[in-house]
Amino acid sequence: MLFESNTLFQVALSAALIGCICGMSGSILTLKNAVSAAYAVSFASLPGLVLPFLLISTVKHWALLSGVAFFGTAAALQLLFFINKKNRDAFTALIMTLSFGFGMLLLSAAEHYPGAAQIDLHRFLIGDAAVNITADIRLLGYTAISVFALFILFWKEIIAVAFDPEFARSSGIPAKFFEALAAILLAVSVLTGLEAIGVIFIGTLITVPSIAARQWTNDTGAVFILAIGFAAIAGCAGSVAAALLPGLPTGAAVTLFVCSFALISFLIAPSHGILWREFRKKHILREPDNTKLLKLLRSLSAQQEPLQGKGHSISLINALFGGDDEVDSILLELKVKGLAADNEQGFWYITRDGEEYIDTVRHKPSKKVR
Amino acid sequence: MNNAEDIATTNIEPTCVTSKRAHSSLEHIERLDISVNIENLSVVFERDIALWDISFELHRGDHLVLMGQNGGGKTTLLKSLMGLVKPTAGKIYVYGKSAETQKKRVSLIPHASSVNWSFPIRLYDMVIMGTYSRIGWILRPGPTSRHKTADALKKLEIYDIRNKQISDLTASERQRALIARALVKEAEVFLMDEPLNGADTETEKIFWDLLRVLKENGKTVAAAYNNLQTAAGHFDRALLVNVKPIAFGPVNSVLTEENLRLAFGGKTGFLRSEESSFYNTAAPIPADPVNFSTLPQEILPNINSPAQSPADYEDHGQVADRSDR
Amino acid sequence: MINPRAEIIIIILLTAIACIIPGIFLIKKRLAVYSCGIISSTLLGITAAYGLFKSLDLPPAILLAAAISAGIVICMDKLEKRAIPRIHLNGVIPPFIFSVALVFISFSPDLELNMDMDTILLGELVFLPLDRLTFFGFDLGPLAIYQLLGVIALNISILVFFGKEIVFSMFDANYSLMIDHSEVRSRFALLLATVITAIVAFRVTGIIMIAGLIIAPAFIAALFTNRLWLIIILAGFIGIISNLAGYAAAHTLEITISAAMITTLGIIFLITLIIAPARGLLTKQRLKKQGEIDKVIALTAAHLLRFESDGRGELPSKLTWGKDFVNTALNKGEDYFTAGEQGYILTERGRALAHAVIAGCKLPDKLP
Repeated sequence: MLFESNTLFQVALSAALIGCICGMSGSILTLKNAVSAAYAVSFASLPGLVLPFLLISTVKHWALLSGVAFFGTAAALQLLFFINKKNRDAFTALIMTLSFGFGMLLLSAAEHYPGAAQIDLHRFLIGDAAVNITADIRLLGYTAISVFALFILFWKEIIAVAFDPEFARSSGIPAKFFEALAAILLAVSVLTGLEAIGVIFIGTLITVPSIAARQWTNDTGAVFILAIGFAAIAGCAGSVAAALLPGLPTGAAVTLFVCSFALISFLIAPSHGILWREFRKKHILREPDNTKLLKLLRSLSAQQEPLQGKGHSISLINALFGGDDEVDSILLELKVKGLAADNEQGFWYITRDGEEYIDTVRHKPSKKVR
Repeated sequence: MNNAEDIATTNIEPTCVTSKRAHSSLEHIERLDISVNIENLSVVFERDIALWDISFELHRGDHLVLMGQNGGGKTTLLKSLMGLVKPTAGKIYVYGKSAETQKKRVSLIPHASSVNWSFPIRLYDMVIMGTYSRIGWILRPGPTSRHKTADALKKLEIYDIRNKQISDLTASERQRALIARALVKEAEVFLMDEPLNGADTETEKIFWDLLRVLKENGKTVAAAYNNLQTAAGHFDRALLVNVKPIAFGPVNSVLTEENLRLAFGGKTGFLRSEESSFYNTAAPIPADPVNFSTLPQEILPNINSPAQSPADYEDHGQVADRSDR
Repeated sequence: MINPRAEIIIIILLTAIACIIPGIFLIKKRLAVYSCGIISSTLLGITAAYGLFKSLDLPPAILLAAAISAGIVICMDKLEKRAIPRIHLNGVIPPFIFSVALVFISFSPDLELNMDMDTILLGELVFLPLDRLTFFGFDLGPLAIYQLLGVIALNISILVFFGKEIVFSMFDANYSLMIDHSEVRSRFALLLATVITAIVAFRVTGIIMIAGLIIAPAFIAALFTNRLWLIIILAGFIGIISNLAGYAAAHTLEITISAAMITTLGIIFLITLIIAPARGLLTKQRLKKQGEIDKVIALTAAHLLRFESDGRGELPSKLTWGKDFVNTALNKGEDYFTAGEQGYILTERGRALAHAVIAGCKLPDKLP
């Protein structure tokens, strides 16, 4: 009994530490809306994981992990630096699937290879809680603390670069350095969590905690801390559950926990959460339709390039407005008052007066357009 | 017989720079009165020419308005002054030293569209970033920085909303935030890319007051700003640019109708369709050498002292459409 | 009927063809990562189908899987309307669904599901011909062939029906704003086609790699050309070649077929990245280097033209234009300007270049 609870404790602790590390590096990604980078890096590390098995017949832990690190970092840097926006989506997806395929290729080759037979490489895909028993908790602890320290030390630089790299450069902060740092931290977290959580699921543990945290607060520091918390708890609970229920893949269990946190956050988090919005809609005076439409026009024009000035078609406005009535009559009403206008092609836009009106009315949502 | 080397090393004085021009190309001493000095700046991105042969000079306390159509190179010029864009040819000096090394003394208000407004950060935290260039690594903004930030926020009258998320700000509030962030940096040279973009009248008033204070403190300002009616009243020098420099000098002399047509009349700067067909890129390039003296002057604008520039140009046809902002 | 190897090869060919159309549009509409999520969440539908029908042979099974997956897509859309950013949703819901399905599958022996981990991840191409379509006692061949043919027909019809809207929204600069009704419909149809393709074809390569089979050929084809029809043909070609090559390699090297196919695609991808004519790395490097020289020459030529009327042919001193700049101009610009008595004079080519540069405010693609 004691033995069992001891190993269980070890499993829980190491998983929690892994969660911490992953949650930390994931928070930068969420802030920058670069979530898929985590998956690209994690899948890219699969070939790197298996390759040492083929090349070096005696499996040394460090050889294994350095292969992972190499591939992972390469992928991360690749993504963050060299791909322009246009291709980033396709590139990410391709890195994910192609690396996976290549990794599986190496895996199946390894199965025929004499030296590798004793290792069940499959578990690197979906994770194995048992690994945590032999894991070096001290190493994990040091890693977690160092990553945390890095973040605390360079917090302002990291946030500045994530928010506005150009301004950061003009303030003398080397943007490229910190972007590279983010990539390296990402690779490190993939490295630490790979064996326990598995390639397929480690990306989730990295990104989802901060997504969940983001629902609760807008403060970047709070997102960071909350992400660590969510990730640690999910890692803990998931691996304990997997240890207790043989057959349950650890990665899947951890993912279930962390995604549940996120889903619950989606629903109930104040100000962002869905249920809250429903609640508020019912109990607070609904904004009159015409003010709402005017605001919609304004946000549309803010999204367009300043000089385009073409406006938007009625069908688009209708689709976005989502109200029950047709927007035609409201638009006409606004036009009469000079707050919106249309051009010859039938595109509607907000006028200067309209914008000024919105500014004045901003704090009185229930005020009707007079 | 001059050989190639001799010719290349002769100090050419381009005709495009007005007024007193010290030989700062040969002497890199820090001249405290000349805050900005640009010589033959050309910037080429991939295969597009963004700026061609821009030269001008600003003294301490000069307020320059930078005008020209979109795509005419204003943003590129400002970014070059900030050291964010590498010149393809030419040199940029801020207080006698290369622009890249002088980042601490230059403060930029970027164009509002280039900022990621959906990032989760408060107005206050965004503005305080302006202090980062003085703080250095790792250290957090201390009481002095916080004080300066609060000061700037109050000047721009956004102190009350300092805890708002930047995604919730109106266009005017965003402009004020950008201005405040630049103010906090306490630089000598202020570069502004359409600082009043989408700003309401109140913001405008605050901004002009601010410019006045900057002038009193001897700060140099270069602002891309396209509103003709107000430009003349608030700036003392003007630079019209449309890839090539059109005119530079005291604001009232430069902002003539002729110059404005050239600055806003399309990238080729040609107004009459008959002429433009000659240099139309769709037209085949002439194989025979061209007699240059028969070509109208406006094809190769010479930037002489502003008083002469109207006389150099014949009146060539209709007024081009100006992009109204 | 025919020898089993031939049947497998036919299946491979049909799979490649089926993947073309979804792949092209997913790439162009930047839904590649999104579709990876959607495809992995089809696992739940597939598991349910296996649970109820024991296999994916019958149309009802496929329909069930498709319906569940479509339902997931609709739910995600609805949630997105509640102003949760799509990126966040895409990072949470597909992994969640995938994990749920995986949990069911890992307890498959108990639940009498007919699935195991290997099938899901790697596919069971070799066993596919074992399920045959029989019609009144006549053996018509592997069921998979007919399923794939059905999918191909479906994809073509989607292209035909929604082609205009899809193509239009692809090339519209404000695509992200045009959430018009027809765009929503066409996007949904596209995702549905992808889902069904994935469900039918997943037994060929496994659920994760089928996404690669869909996206990669189209992306590689898109590196070569911009024209839609050409991309379709090229993507099919690349898909077929790489699949067959993978199959052949798998046989000789004794590795998993699906992994070999994807790796072949990966190799083609990397090679194309480097050598593709207009967009490849090599070309870009070469153009960049040439571009640097071109810039210098063009600017110098323009400068000379401008000051020619003043009778001046000097280049701005090295200090103003930069020593490297002037040196490059002198060294590489012999065709465009030559040293004269009072400075530099433009040659004919130089003059033409200068005219072009001044007129267009850009460097011509090839210097005269």
